[in-house]
Amino acid sequence: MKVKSTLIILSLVLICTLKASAQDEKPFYYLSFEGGAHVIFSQIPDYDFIRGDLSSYGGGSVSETIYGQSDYWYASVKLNKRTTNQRFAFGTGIRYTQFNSSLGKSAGESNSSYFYMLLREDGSSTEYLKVTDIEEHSGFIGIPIEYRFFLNPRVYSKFYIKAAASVNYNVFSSRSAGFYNSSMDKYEHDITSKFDEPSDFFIPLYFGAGLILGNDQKSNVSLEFLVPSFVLTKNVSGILEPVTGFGFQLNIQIPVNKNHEA
Amino acid sequence: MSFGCSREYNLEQTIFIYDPEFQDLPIYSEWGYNSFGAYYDREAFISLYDGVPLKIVVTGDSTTFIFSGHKGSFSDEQMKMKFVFFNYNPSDYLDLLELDNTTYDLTQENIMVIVSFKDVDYVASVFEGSIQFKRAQNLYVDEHQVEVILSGLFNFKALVNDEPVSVTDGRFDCGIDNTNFFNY
Repeated sequence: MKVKSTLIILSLVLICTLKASAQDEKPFYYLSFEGGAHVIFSQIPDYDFIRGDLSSYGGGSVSETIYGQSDYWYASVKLNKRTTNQRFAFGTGIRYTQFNSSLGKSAGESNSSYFYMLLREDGSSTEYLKVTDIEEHSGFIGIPIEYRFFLNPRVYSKFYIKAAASVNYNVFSSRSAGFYNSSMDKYEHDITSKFDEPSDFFIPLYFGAGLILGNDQKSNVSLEFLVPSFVLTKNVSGILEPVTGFGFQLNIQIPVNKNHEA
Repeated sequence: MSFGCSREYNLEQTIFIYDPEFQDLPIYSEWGYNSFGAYYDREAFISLYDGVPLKIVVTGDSTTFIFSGHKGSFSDEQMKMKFVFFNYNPSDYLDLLELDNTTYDLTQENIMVIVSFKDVDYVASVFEGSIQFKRAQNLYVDEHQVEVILSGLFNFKALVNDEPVSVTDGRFDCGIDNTNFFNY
């Protein structure tokens, strides 16, 4: 439902922008190269194959003693268009995103650096392995869409606010496990295959504010802080449930129509 | 698979995860969380965080399962519940695996239940009830045999010190190794 709503809103924004651009006689176009990263706070599903552990608070549940961490970084090439009055900008292009997530033992929560995972049960025999961490990396190719509003246009240092999202398709995924005893490495596949596979699509939505430096007809550099940052798709990570986070983005814009008269 | 006992300190700790339904008791689990609990009448009899929740003592022709804890969620009244099985003599803790999926009627003559408060024993005259070993597992960690996990349920009605008592919703999940299995 959230994904549908977001796609509808973004489509409307895109249509409005295209209409506006049709009315603009001389819009500004920039080719932009950008990179960014987000830290995402995640929840840990209550896995029935991970043993609870001693907690200093006495709760002993899995989520109290194992930490989950997610982040993603991306690099994009986009075509940005600013309206003639330099108030609005719309950009889209192509983006590569790598989403990373990991499970490990919480520092200070226990006296061990590993947790117990169920390997298998066979009759009356049950086997655990001491696992130090589980990591997952997924690569996505996608289309970013962003919309900026400049608070003080036509000056060298411009502040802006933005809303952005991207629709990304999974092109690869890999997972690894670390073991307390390295001789247990042979069970890596048995351990990592207990988790669900990540989903095919990854749709983040984020808002932010930034500062762009440069004359309108020359190359610009912008730095922006993005908060809040949401992950709208479920199971983008097979081992965690990402919820929300924050990020930053660095952007270099090169004007395409340099002979534009402002 | 290699054999031979290796101690796992972290598996000997108590993990007490409260049951969302019976909120004074630990959940029923089969992970070897070293916890137990039951309602003694309407008060909780539960394992201690820093104690050995279950010791198994084999002497002569009997084996005694001793659950040590305290009664009442906020009191420190020490309490023990002992299940004595006559004519049952496991030679070491691995023999406990034969208890897997077994249920014992506590009214049988070869079983005795003792309730102990502050180290004063009271033999319970059980007139209804059972103890069920739902699962006995031989646990290996990183291919080394570590312990046997006994998980199960119990409940009974009895006269204790001439007073009728109900023990309900009993559950246990305890690891047994050479440190809490005694045969002498």
